[in-house]
Amino acid sequence: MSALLEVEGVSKRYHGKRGTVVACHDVSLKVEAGEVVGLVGESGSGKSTVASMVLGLVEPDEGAIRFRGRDVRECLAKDRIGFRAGVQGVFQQPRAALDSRRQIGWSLMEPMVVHKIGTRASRERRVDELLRAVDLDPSLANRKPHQLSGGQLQRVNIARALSLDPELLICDEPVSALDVSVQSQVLNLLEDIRERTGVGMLFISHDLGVVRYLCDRLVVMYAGRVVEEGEVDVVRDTAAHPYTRALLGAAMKVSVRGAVGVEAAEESATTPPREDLPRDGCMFAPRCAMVRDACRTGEPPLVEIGPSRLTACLRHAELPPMDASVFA
Amino acid sequence: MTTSTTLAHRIARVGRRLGVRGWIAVLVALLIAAVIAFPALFANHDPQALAVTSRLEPPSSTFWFGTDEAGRDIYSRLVHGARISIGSAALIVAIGCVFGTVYGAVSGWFGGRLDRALMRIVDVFLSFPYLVLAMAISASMGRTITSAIVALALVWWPSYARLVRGMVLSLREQTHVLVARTLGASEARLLQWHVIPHMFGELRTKVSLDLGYALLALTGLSFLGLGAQNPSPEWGLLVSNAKGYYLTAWWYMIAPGLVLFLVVLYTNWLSDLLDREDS
Amino acid sequence: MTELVKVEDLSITYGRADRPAVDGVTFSLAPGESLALVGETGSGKTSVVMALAQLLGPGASIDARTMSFEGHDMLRMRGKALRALRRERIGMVFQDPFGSWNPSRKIGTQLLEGSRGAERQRLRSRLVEILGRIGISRPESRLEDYPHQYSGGMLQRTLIAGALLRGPSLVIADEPTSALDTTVQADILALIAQLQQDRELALVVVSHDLGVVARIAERTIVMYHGRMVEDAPTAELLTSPRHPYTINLIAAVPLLHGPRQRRLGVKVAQGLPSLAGCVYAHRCALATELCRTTQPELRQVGQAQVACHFADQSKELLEAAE
Repeated sequence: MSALLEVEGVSKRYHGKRGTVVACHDVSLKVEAGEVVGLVGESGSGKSTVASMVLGLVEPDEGAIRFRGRDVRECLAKDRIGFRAGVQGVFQQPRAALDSRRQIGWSLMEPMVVHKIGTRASRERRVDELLRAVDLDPSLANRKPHQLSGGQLQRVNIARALSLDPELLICDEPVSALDVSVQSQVLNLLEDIRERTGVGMLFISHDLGVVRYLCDRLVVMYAGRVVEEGEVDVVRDTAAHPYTRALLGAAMKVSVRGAVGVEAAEESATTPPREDLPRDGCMFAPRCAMVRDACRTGEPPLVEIGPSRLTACLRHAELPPMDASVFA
Repeated sequence: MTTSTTLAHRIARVGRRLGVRGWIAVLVALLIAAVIAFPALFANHDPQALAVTSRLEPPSSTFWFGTDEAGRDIYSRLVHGARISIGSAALIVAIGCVFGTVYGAVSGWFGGRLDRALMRIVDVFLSFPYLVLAMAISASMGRTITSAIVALALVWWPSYARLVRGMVLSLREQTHVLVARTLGASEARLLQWHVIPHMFGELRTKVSLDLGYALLALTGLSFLGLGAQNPSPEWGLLVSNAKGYYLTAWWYMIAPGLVLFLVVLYTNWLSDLLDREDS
Repeated sequence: MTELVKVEDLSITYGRADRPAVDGVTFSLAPGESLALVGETGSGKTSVVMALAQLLGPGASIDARTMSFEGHDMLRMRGKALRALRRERIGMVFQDPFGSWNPSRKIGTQLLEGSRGAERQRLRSRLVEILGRIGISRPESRLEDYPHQYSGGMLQRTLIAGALLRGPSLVIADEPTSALDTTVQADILALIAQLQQDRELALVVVSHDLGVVARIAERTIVMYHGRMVEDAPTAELLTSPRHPYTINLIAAVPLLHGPRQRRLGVKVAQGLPSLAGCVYAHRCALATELCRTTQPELRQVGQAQVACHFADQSKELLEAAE
């Protein structure tokens, strides 16, 4: 039985005036039916490119993406409508995702119109249902986007995405642009939806706390590559890649739990500008405290170190466990 | 979902949004439209009635703007000429806008080599001085108002193509368009419902501005003898005929010139109004 | 002068709005002390610091019993004196490191803007020294670069250097790390904390992020819809929040460690805001008639000042309401 979503060895390059930029390279991941997988990385990690490709908005240069076992390119060619009903997206900027000239009700009806579902009357009823399902008052259907807050708009977007009963939801930083209290409401909503419908999700975020709340498994990306993968709490406690450790360290240092005493065992790591990435070897080498010569010759492969536990660090076995005793 | 759209409600809403300036703009537009549609209601003489006895008479209570060299009432000729001048200008802009918009939308939406080829053609047209083009067309089609309209329409469409292409290029990448695509909308639907409606604002502004410029260009051509021909009461032609008598019968030249000025002033003001409403 | 900054009863109204954007804000800051203003969009936190530095435009009407900095009455200061004071004594760090720079001018030129001759030379060498200290390698040549040659983290560090250049006694940082990646954020905050300690700078940080606040502020003021709802030492605020809004804010943060959260945040109501009574009443699960009619004043509860009628029992009441 194939997984709901299979991304296999996918690469994407963009050719610009200043040379070629590698958005992502040899990326693989899987989402099983009903599973929520978190995709974590900072700017330049390539996570948004992966989202665009899964949604069929961009074609990979190499590799394949399969939905329900069928290549996305094939789905789009032979069963576009079916694919579009099965995979939906929620994006970072709630306001930009809606047509500013249309009423909310119009935008909510659009999927039904496009997929030729229902009659005028039944669609209007469904719009009411959808708004109620995301805790919004049905009267909002007559308003325009500029009259609603960011949190309300994002809930509208979620309602719209769910209206076609998709099996897979791609969320690209859906709460990053929202205030914390609004964010919590949207996250609660997504969790409720997950429980109610069993929809599978690929949840992209830079915030490890958010990812831990919603996701079962976690995939970490750096400079367009997958560097680590595993169950969220397991990765958190036994991080097997220096970049993951840097992310975790940063999250601990800037935490509402106020553990100021956490000292950085790791060197801080930011994805440098694309021009400064190494041409060969591990992308993280220039910033890594554990770097050896072997790291610079040929990219380290992603190896399995446990059940669905992967890492792309040659020296993962030598990494000490993360010390989170301050949070005990 | 209840929508409050009783007719009275809608009119009231539009009325409030228009404001004083908006209402003035609408009324003037209606006035111009009325003059074009029913010139006989406004003119008090037959524009073609020759009266050798009352040649070049100054403005009076019978002849509001005086008479021309053939004794015809200038005011009535102006009224009848509105249809020709403004109507033709509107036609020029309409053709240019429709053709240019479709052209630009296709070019911008599909991009790539098609876009580059199409824009190259636009560059060629844009580098043509309109006068030369007009003369060439008149030479082949004969000197009529039709050839002037054709010439100017050919001159006008490229700027629409460029503008629309630019707008489509940026609108195409907007999130709500991408989202609609993920919902399953076809390319045609995306263009029709998500992209083109967002262009109306800028197009409206440009169209109203162009009406004035097209009017000036058209009357200019007639003035030079390349457009309307006698005895048509086309405004540019009136000015042309009047130039011979400007020392003695100043009202003959002033009248059409003044009316032209006022109409173009109006279109400029209207365009500014529309532009501000959009932002 | 014991207080570097003293603000009493500050109110700010924009244009002809029917309610003030900031209402009754009162706090003081000692030299070398760090304070955070926390709140969400519309809380008025940015307006407060902008008003203090007199950077609000003519459309804002500022009213306060006291608003002083280093003994100067900021409400009365104008023109050259104000500009000099701001330039020499207050350093400002804004949110967007990318947008804060003119892309067509060199970094060094922009940082040294307005200075000439001997003074410029002196500032330049000082700038090089500070840049070196805060982790910019080869600062001399770096000053000749353009903004696009810098990364986000470097731009923010440079902005901080610029803010410290003339040796201010107060630094105001408005969301200093929101536009940066998580790993860079941790570094910049460590830097700010370090500099603040080394130079005994007073610091006012505006942020929506409690993690940021935890890292660099000794004291925190929580604002909601223009009013102060809680004022406490940061550690106390984070471990024992008293105001229902603060309690919700803290509970709303998804935690990376500790037991798995079933739901984020505490129970909130869905009412519409009104002009009377407590600003938070419409959202508060504990709101009563009293809350809707009478605005609560700040009162001492433990180490905190809290503006809530139920401040001493709020936590228990909210847990019961779940």
